[in-house]
Amino acid sequence: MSASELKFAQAPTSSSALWHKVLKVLSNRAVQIILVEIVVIAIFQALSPNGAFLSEANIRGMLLTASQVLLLATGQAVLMSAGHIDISQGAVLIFSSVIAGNVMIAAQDSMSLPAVLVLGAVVAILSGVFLGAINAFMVGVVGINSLVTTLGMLSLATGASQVITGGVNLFGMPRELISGFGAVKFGALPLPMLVSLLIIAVIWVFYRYTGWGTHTLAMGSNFLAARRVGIKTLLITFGIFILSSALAGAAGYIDLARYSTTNISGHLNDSMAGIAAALIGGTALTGGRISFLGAIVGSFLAIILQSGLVIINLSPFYQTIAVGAMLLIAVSLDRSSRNRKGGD
Amino acid sequence: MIRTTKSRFKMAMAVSATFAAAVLLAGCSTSSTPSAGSSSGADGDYTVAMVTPESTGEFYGAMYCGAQAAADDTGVILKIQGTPGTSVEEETQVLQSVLATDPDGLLLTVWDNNAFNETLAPYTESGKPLVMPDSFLSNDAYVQSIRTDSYQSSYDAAVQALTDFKITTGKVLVVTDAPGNAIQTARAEGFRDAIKEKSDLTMLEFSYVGGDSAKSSQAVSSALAANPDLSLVFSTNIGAGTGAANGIETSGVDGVTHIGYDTASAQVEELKAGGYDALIAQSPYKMGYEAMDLMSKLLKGETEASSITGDAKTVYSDWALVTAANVATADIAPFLYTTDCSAVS
Repeated sequence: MSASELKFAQAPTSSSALWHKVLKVLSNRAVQIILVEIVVIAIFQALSPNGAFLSEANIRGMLLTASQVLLLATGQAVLMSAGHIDISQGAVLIFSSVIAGNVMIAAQDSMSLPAVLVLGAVVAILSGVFLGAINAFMVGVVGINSLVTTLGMLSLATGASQVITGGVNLFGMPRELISGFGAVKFGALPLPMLVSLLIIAVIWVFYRYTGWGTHTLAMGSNFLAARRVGIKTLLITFGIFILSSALAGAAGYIDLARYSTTNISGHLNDSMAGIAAALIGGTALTGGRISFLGAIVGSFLAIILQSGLVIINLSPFYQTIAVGAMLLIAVSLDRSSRNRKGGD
Repeated sequence: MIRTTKSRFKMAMAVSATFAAAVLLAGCSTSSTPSAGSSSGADGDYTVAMVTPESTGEFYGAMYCGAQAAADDTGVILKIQGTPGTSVEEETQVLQSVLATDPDGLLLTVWDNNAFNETLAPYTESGKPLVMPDSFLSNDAYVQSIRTDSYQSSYDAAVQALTDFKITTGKVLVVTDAPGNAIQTARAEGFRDAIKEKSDLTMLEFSYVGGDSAKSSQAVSSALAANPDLSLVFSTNIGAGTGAANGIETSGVDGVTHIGYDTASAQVEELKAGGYDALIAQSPYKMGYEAMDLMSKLLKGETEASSITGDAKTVYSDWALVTAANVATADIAPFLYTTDCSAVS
């Protein structure tokens, strides 16, 4: 071998090292989804009349919708990293909004307005905590599968909401809930979205930098081994189910703040939207892997698609097909999923 | 299974590009149904947006036909959007995007009179016209609502049916959705009040079955077993009606008259086959036409929004009692719901 060939054989050049780094970043599912979203946004913006897609009003509308989906998706992602699932989030959302709404209507004459709003938020989250604790008990203590448990909770919470309200949506909510929270905006950024992002940031910090996150992933990866190693699996199970339902409670409060009424017969697809967002973003269904950024961008994908298709005036008959197809395409672009444990 | 990453990627790109092209071409091209997202209008000065729930159903399909016809007649561009679902959040998502396109006018149907006030506030406060076929807002922030009087249509139809079908004695069962559904409750109460005030028949308690045909079938069978003199059943929605027809048939009881509400094509088939004796039909085509016609007049300045006040803000549209005898007549054709615009005019 000549001297120059030897030199070639010694170390990778800086450009190929850079290329490897780029490939590694691109193999991150969340980044892929971000790239897909950028392409989709560019296409919709180019096709929309007068640039309506990226207008302040539309961005604000999409962010408002996302503010609720993000919370649910985060709860699902944390649960899925432990190998569980929660299909009762929509029903818990409705239940929390019913309880919080009734409490606020009853309290608005005897308490100051800001106190009433804060009380409503606390009550909404506590309702979620209550239902989440029941879920956790059934899964952690009684030992029922989380899908079956949350299926039962779905019926329980929906039925309880209907009994409490007699089937009639609430009216008479304090106006300040909307003027002081739901409709507050900073340009294109609505306050509910800011609050959701803050909540998720706090959860992410705890998950990433305390033992709780690692232990949850361990539970999802191998439950028995985690328990034998001394991880407090029952405590963590309670924690994550309560977290998921508390986030649904917070989403219920945002629901009240957006519509000034409950929506008892709606929210049927909320859990599925949260699960889909978490999955698209790269959280594994079987546990052991999580992506918070993925859950966030996964939530946005369906919302961006929905909004764009309406703005370019695609027939409603085709929109459902288009959204489903785009989601499948976005996920199938991931080439490294084959090698990961837990598949996709 | 393609293993190499390069060829998987190429395959994914090829499939997605073809699929995307096909769907976009199909969805954006014009066709005989106006809900293909197409627009029309020669001058095209004004653009009006229309948003409804159940956008793939037949009732709103007929409404779209009417609105498109009026848009064509008055030379205004109409963009029809909506959600195939019925929930508030689904329609709010669509409405937010539609409002971002800054239409000159909005035709809107909502199923909850309170939940949309906030989302619409920026639009209604800007002074642009809002006309509402088939619904209204609790804060009155619309120019006109053109809808069926659910209570009165049921009331009058009950009176007419009692005469037409010569029902003089027995019990009456009403199968309906849930107490929270204002429109269905109005239909049920209108029927009940007519029976109480205008006949000697006895009303049974309302049977709340949602839109579930299985529950409805069960409820009607039980009622027939418990009340052999049950002579009249009224169902207020399609699911309840299908179940009620099924319940009556499987019980094998004769002499029960079944009246339903709404005339989707499945119901019309049932009517011809004998599952219903009559159907109360609304006129969605006319609602759509009149709403769009008013909108065009408002945009062109031929009518002033401020001149429509008080009682004039609500216009009750026609209804008809459709039976197997008159279902094929030309008079009844505008009352049958369909997504095929050539069938209605």
